[in-house]
Amino acid sequence: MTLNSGLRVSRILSLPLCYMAGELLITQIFLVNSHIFGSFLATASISFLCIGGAIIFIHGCRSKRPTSDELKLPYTSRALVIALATLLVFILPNVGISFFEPLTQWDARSIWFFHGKAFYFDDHVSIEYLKNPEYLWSHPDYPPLVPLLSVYHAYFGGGWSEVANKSFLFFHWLALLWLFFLTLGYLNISCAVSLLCCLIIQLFFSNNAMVGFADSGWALAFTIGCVSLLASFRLQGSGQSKSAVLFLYNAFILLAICSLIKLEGCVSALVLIVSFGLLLFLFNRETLNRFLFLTLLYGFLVSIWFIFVQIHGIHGEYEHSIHAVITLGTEMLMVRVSQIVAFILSHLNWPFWQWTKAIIAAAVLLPVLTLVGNSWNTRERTESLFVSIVILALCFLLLIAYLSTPLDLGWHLTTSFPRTASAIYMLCLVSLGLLCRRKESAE
Amino acid sequence: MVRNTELVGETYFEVGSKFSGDSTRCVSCLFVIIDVHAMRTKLAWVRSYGALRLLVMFLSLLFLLLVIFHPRTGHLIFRLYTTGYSSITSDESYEEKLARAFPLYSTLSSVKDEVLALGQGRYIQIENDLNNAWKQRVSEIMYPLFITNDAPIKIRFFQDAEKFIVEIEDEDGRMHEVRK
Repeated sequence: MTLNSGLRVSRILSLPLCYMAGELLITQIFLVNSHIFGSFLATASISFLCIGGAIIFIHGCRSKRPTSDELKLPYTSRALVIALATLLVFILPNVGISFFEPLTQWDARSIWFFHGKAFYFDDHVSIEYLKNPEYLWSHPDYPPLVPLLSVYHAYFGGGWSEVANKSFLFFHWLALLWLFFLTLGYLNISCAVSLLCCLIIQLFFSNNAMVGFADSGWALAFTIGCVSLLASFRLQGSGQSKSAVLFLYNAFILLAICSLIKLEGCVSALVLIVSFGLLLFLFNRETLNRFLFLTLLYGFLVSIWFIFVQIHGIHGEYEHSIHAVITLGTEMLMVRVSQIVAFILSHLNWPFWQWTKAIIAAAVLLPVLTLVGNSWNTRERTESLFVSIVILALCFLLLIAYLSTPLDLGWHLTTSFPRTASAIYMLCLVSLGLLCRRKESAE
Repeated sequence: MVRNTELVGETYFEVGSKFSGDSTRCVSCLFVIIDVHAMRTKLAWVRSYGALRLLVMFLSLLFLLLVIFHPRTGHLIFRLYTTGYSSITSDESYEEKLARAFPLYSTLSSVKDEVLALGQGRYIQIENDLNNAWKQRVSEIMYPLFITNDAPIKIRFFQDAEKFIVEIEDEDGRMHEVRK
């Protein structure tokens, strides 16, 4: 496929990217239609999207535009075929859970798909529903991407289904994993290591994603966003500015998606954008204007929902508040911090919490080791440092989130910590990947 | 966020108690060993493509052994694959699946259809004293009906012998009965 910039991109990369862009587009069209017309205008919107998609596809196929640049795939075609086949075999059980299992988990059933159900039956994002005090427990202020995608698929499927409506999670996850695999390659990480990272994520995080928890979804989108930003930085550094811009777009699409999946995703995306802005400002100002433009576009897309929530005063049963952390007082703050640390440490011998142990070990060890290991090249050291900073920032955000919780801290940690820390663990995998970069990258 | 074991089925705590972390302990230890070794040898062998291939094979084999010989150890992996494959081959109907997720699903759906057929608005009140988890579940299943405390349509749940009965009293005080 040829982009307007004259960059030829393989469909192997453009297809999952277009799929993610499509998800974002569907969400925004439904949201804007609902705000302006008081209805999703689902039939018209779906027809519009299908016709638009077909035109873009035909244009992409027939384009005779002379292109001077081509974004080469990071792996050989043989490696790609083997990797895709392996990935498809490993994700096969996802089909069973996402297509054929009923919703059983609380978050999935009572937040994401319940919102979707309400939106579907009301045919718009109903303020009457969102402000109804009877439904405060379902956190009506949470972002709408998963609910609106379920609405879209309900219209496609001909009605609301408690089983099949989450089937889009399968394609969402597949597209994310494939994008993750490819973008890792642009950081000069070998095919074997990239595939290994994907398989680890599939084995340990896909169950949560398939049953309808949103945490794995936003964490993976966030991780790919981070990797794409780094790929953009690297490509710009090696003089491939058109490819660098493509990865900037890729990153912002994924960051917008992760922001519209969960509030944690939004805060994490903001931290990542600010960190990368600083990185560009310090090391590479050529793409800074483009980056700022995309940041504004991202802000516009994401703020449609959040401004709507603010204007109508929609809120959930419990709200995290930074003010609550500030007013805790030093003594209480220390008590809570020690409670969190004690919780993590006390579970080192409790088998389920080995994840916690692994996360702590990886969060502390990997960035440091990556820094030590990647000392051969300044650019690579900068990339590793960037990942390390993002990991530490996420750890800090998680700490703030638990300090500000209005719920019982012990209960909240017990029920949510492994899920909310998914992004940290995935970034640690990226860090591991950076550690194992190919030798030929040394300059 | 109230979670009731009877209603929801599997809670996080149940999942947690089933999941042994031996697999992750092994994997994390392995990663740490690799990291330390990589640091000591300045990445000489990690950079080698052949060694990486060996690493991938070793990790794959490790996961495979865990899944085969100690299912409880690799609970998350095992659960994903067993549930996934059994779902693909299962011949459960839609109703049976819903009943598995929540036993009273079809009863409550019938009530919803009945109330909607009465055409007397979206607001209902439930006269039983339901706990929060029940109230949440009923609200979810019966949407687009809103549950409030002063709606004209009243609903009562009760158990008669082995049958679960729901009575609906409409605005005019007429009784409608749904048995399952």
